Formats: sequence, C-alpha cells, structure tokens
Amino acid sequence: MKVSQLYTDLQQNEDQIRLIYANCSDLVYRSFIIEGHTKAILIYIDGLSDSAGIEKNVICPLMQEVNGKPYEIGELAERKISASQTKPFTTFEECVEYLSNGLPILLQDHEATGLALGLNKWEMRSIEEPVAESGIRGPREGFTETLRINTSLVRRIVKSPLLKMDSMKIGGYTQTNVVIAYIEKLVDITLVEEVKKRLERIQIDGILESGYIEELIEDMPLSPFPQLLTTERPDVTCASLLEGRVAIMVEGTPFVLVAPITLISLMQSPEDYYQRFWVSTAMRWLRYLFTLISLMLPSLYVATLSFHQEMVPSSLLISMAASREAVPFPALVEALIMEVTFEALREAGVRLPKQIGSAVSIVGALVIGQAAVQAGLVSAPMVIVVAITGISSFMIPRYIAGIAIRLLRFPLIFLAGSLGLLGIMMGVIALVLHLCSLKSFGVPYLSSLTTTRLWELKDVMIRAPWWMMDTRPHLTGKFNKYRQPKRKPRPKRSE
Amino acid sequence: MKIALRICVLVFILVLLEGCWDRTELNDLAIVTAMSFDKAEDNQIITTVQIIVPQNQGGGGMSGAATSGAPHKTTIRSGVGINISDSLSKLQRIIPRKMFWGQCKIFIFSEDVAKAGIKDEFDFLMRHPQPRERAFVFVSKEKAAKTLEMFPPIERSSSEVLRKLTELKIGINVTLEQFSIMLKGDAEAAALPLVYILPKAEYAEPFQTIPYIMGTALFKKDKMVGQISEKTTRGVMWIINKIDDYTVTFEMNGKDDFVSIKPVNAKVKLLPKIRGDKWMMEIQVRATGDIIQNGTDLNPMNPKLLKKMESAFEKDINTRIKLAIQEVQKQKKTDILGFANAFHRKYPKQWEKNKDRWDVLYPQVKVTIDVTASILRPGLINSPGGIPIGEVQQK
Repeated sequence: MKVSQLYTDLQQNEDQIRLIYANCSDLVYRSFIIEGHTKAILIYIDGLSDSAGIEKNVICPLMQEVNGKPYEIGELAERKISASQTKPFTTFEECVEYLSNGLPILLQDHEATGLALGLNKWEMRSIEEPVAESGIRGPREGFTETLRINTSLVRRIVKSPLLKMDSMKIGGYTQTNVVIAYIEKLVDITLVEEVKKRLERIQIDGILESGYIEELIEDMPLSPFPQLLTTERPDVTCASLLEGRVAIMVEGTPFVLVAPITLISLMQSPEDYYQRFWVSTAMRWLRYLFTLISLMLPSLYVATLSFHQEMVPSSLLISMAASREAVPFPALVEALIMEVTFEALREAGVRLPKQIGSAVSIVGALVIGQAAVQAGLVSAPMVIVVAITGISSFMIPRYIAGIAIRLLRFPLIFLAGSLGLLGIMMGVIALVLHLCSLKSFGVPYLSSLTTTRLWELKDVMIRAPWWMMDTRPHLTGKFNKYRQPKRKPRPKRSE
Repeated sequence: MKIALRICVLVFILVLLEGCWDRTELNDLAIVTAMSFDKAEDNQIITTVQIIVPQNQGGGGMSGAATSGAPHKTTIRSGVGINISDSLSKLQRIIPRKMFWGQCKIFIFSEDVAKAGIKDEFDFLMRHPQPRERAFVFVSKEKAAKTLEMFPPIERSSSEVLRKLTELKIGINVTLEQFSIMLKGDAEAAALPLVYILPKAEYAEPFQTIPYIMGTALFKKDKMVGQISEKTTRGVMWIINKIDDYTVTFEMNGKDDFVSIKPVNAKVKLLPKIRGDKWMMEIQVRATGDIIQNGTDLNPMNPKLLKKMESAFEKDINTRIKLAIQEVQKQKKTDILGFANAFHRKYPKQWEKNKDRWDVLYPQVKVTIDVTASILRPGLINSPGGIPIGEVQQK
C-alpha cells in the first residue's frame, strides 16, 4: 500500500476520505468553522467515539468566536482542545487507522496535518467473574473483550516497570491488536523472540479469538493436547509471568494464552496456591486420580467384562452378570452408546438456554439413566461407570484438557473391546510416547514430571507451602532462579 | 506426518481385522462356582458343576423375580466320562453357555474317588489354564454332587458356604497349589478337609441346608488312606502351627470345673535331632491366651493360682498334641505333620541317605513335646462371676 500524504485543501481531503469510506453509513462528518475564520471538519465513527466529549471538549471551544489570528493545528491542540490525547498525522493511512480505532480526527483548511483526538469510547462489558474458571478462594475478576482493560488488569497486579507489553497487529482485515506480555529479566529472551517470530509468521485474514492464534503457533498441531494455556483470570496470567512464561493477549476475547506449559500446569488450579497446602496437595492427588479414571475407567470395565472375568471378585461378577442379563448389546457397544449419549448431553447442556437447562438434566437423569436401565437397554453398573467418568473429567481445572482426555477414552474403549487389557496397555503406551515427544515452545510437555531435579516436584506431587517455594520452575525460570530467600516457617523468636 | 498416518491406519486395521477374537460376553458365560467328582460305573467319572443363575440373583435392576417363592440361585449339571476332560466335554452339551471356571473356588472329591487315587484328576486341574490354583480342595464323605445340590438359607450357594467356612480357619484349609506341594513334598502325604452335609432343620424346605467341614482326610501318595476326627485335627493344627483364634477349654483340679481360653495364639517350632541312629523331634509350643470363661472358684489375679491354671492349660495342649501324634504318626503312619521337611532342612545329608526309608523311619521318630503356655488377661472381671466374693478361692 503506497503512502499518500494529506492535501492542504480541506475539500480534497474530505473527498478522499469519503472515497475510502464509501458506503459506510456509520461515519459522521461534522464540518464547522474554527473561531469564525477557518473551515474545519471533524470525522468519527458513530458508536466508537465519545460524542458528548467531542461536543464539550472539541467543537464547543473551537467554535467560540474570538477574533484573532488563525492557529496552526499543533497550536490548536495545545491551546484549545481539551482532549487527553492528541496525535498529529500526515497520511491517509494513519487517518484510517485512527478512525477505525475510534479516534475522531480533525482536519483544518490549509493544513496538510490532521489531528487525532483520544476520545474513543465504546460500549464494553464490565469486569465479571470468569465463568469457565470459577473458584471459591481467590480474586473474582476475569478478563473482558477489551484488550486495554485486560492489560490494565495485569498491570494492576504486576506494578514493576519490568513488565513489558509488546504489541503487534495480526489479521489482514481485522487488524487485531495482540499484546505479548512478559517480565524482563525473568523471562528467557529467546522465548519472547520465538513467540514474536511465530506470531509474525501468521498471515490470516482475521483473528476473532485467541484460539486462532493458538492453533497457528503451537509446536505439534495434530496433538489432542493443548500446548498453550488458556485462561480468563488475571491472577493465573500473572502467576505464569512470574514463573518466566509469556502471555499473549488478544483484542476481542477474554481468553489469554500462556506459553510454554507442561502437562502438569493443566492440572494446577489457581486455588491450589491460595488454600492451605495440605488441602491443595490432597486436591491435587484427587485430581490426578480422577484424571486417570476419566481416561481409563470405561475401557477397564469393558476389558474386564469381555476378556478378564476372572479378575473380578466373585460376588461383584455375579451381580454384574445379574444386571447384564437382560442387556442385548455386547459390553463394548453398551459402553459406546452410553459414552456418546453422555457427550451429547454435555454438549447440549452448553448450547441450551439457561431456562431449559434443568429440563435437559431431568431428561438426562431420568430417561437415559433410570428408564434405560429399567427397559433393559443398558446395565446399571455401566450407568455408574459413565456417570463417574463424566464427572471426573470435569475435575481437571482446564476445560480444554478435560475434553482432550474425554476424547482419548473412545479409542481406548475400542482397544479394550478388541484386545482387552493388552489393548489398553498398547493405547496407554502410545499415549505416553506421544506425551514424551510433545513440546510447548521447546519445553518438554512432561518436563516437570520427568525431571532429575527432585525439588521440581514441589509443585507437582505436592503443593509445597509458600515458605518452601523458593525456586521457579527450572525450564522457564532458570534466568532468575529464586523467588525468595529460603526461610523458616515461623517468625524469629526474638522478634 | 505420512508415517504417522500410516501407523494410525495400520493400528485401526489391526484392531478391526482380528475381530475381537477372544471376547466372550458375560451373558454367554456359565459361571461355575464349584466342581465335584464322583465315581460312576465302569470306572468312569461323574463331573458335576454348580452354575450361577444370574436371572435369580436379585438386586440387579431386574423385577418380577420374586414370584413363585424363592428362586434357586444356583443350578447343577453333571456329565459322565472316562476322565475329567471327557466328562466336561459331555457336560458342555447340556449347558447352553460356555463354562467359565475363572471364579470356581471349590473342588470336591468324593471319598470313593479319593480312595481310588486322584492322580489323573489332579493332573488336569493343575495343567488346564482355567482352574484357579488358589481354589480350595475338599473330600466329601457323601456323594460329592450332593454337597453342591443344596440351597443354603444364608449364603448364595453351597460353594460360598464352604469357602466362607474355610476362610474362618477353624479346620485345616488346603488350596490346589498347597495340595500339589504337599503331594510332591518329601513326605508324599497330604491332608484335605472332610465335608459332611448338615441335617436340615425340620421346618426347612428340601435341600435347604449346608455342607460343613469336620475332620480330615489323610492322603498317602495320591490315595486317601484314612481319616482323623475333628479332635485329632486340632492336634495336627497345633503341630503344623495353623492354630489361630481358637478356643481351648480344659479341666482344672480334675473336677468338673472348666476354664476356656481365647484367642489362643501359638508359635510352634519343630526341632529335629538325629543322634546316631535315633531320629528325634522336639515340638516346641509357645502359646498365649485370655480367659473367656472361668468355671472354677479360683481367682486368676493371684499369681499362684494363675500359675496353676497355666500349667493346666499346658497340660491340655500337651494331651491334644500327644493324641494327634499317636493317631497320625503311630497308627495312620502318614506324615502330614511336616516332619520330613524339617529333617530335610536341618540334616540334608542324612536325609539324602535315608529318604527312601522314610516310611519306616517316620513311625519310629521319638517325639518330645515342650509346651510353655501363659494366660495374658483375665478378661473384664477378676474373680469368678456368679459366686459370692467370700467363696472365691483367693489363695
């Protein structure tokens, strides 16, 4: 795009802008005369600018007829216009950029310089509690769709000027603002460069959500596992920044991306760090257990029921046999029917308006559960297995990781139904191999689990109490190793 | 990328092609809970299996099962053949589902079969991959199939009754694996619990009773050679150190005053000795227990009287063991007491030389018994309950 300078003639400038914004009914052209001698025009997009502020701070003072010599446009800004921000520009390209960001522009006759006024203001959602990541203890603020609010939320927590926020624009038509946030001297600078390099590589027509960016910059695009953390919470973002990670904030979405991550960071809930460490450790283990259950319980059930009947205790096997007696399907088909039904119910629950939500749960619980068992279509133990599995997948704090694991249990069910425990073993080995080869921005996905530094496990196997959390995770925080000096849990006695 | 795709397709095809080859639905299995062996004419064998009837188990979300009285939870079927495998293949013809013995925890031989020798049957049970090595083995005094053909009022099946009784460890319990070890051991002798059928209560419906365990069958090589009573079995259990949570009742002062001790905890050691030609065995018993019933007028809080009680306790154990030795060693001459193993362990060289003579040596082994018994706690009360304080003998 060739750069075209503004004309000195006001009419010519106006015509040019009208040409650029042909058929755009939301543009407002307000021509007036500055102090009774110079023609001028104010252009803005309706709804993106503060029209009350424009009237009060720009048009009113300028139109007041005071006899005197005409001002230059720079002088005008200094003397007359009481807007907080004014930016002079000389090209039509800049003019379009300012306009599309909601800044009103002021053009004056006989001047090849325009003035953009910082009076952009549009309707936005207020800060609310994050829906997908709610918790009992911890801040209840969530990011919103407005990038500047999001950056301010982060800046409010990390006040150090070392918190850097590089910005860039991605998307041919949307020109979406993207901010790369990191804490200097904490972060590996090559990581920041890598993130920027990958972002610059994107040549897409539009970015509507951070999900676009996530898929375009991850290391292994075919993996079912998320390789960037998505969060709506400023506290999670800041905690990641303090561990030497990089946050990518995208205009128009409350979901911020964090890179690099490990498998374990998907299992860590922000609440873990606010509760007492005993509780957090116990909850973490419960989560690990139920992650395994969510992945393997249906397949284990199918495998034992159709291959390894001798593994089940006698009385349990007999009651399972009794409940399966009327079921016409093989265990594999039964499991698939129920699992797919559950997934459908879950998906429907997300889509349905809130008012109908309770109706769905009644249908789900009564029809699918009770009636299907009574009709002899599925057995009661299978309903229990599916219910436990369904609930356990929601114990994973990251929704997206939960879905990944829920999806993976379908191939495992197939393997269990065809090869029994052997098949499950094959599936699990394949899964572990994949996880071992997976990397997120160069950091191995299992790095915090498979480390030789035992103390790295302080935030994996347990949640060490804060007075013991003295180091940052090694692979992202090695440039500034210590969070705090080692300290004793109690105040000194003499104090 | 391409390779990954190819591997995916390959795995998918692999999974589909092999077509669930080993899969058996639970609905297609006849779950066998017990199996028994009887003798038929012409030296043939009758194999009887007890099968769970899943429809009648109740509680599985099934309705309508409660009509026409209590439905039987198990059923039995029998097949006759030259040996077990033959009879089993014939048995399968009259069972519409595939027999599954993964849960079969009871094997019962009838006395006839046991006396004729169970080498063949045993080979099958150990060789075939399906039977569990940890299943319990019994000898039935009556027709073995009869012990399976009953519907116990409490447990799900008669096999369940036998398993639970065994797990109480009142008599000896022997699994398939242990039985195999016994038969292959130095002594070449084995003991199996004997099963009787409890006479049914008068009000009970036909077949509504249970099998129970009483006494022990003695095996030499693979043949049953005799049986010992329940009382002797206890003595044997003392010697083989299987006494556990068991009540000992003995007489005090030679009067009709009895004292009961429970739980009896005992450590028994077999200490073999060879002096020249003489083979000797010292049985060292260290037993402890609490008083649960005191029929005497002695106050056990007095150390002197307690000592008296303890020596009576010791004497009682001594008699029990002697009785067992007398019967098992001198009369039946079967070494189910583990003497052979003890000698083998301590005197491997002498054993090597004499192991062929063990049959002759065993009845001549001189047994000495050394019992130390102590009473640890007198129970909740000190002096005997039920008599005035004045009449309690304090000293």
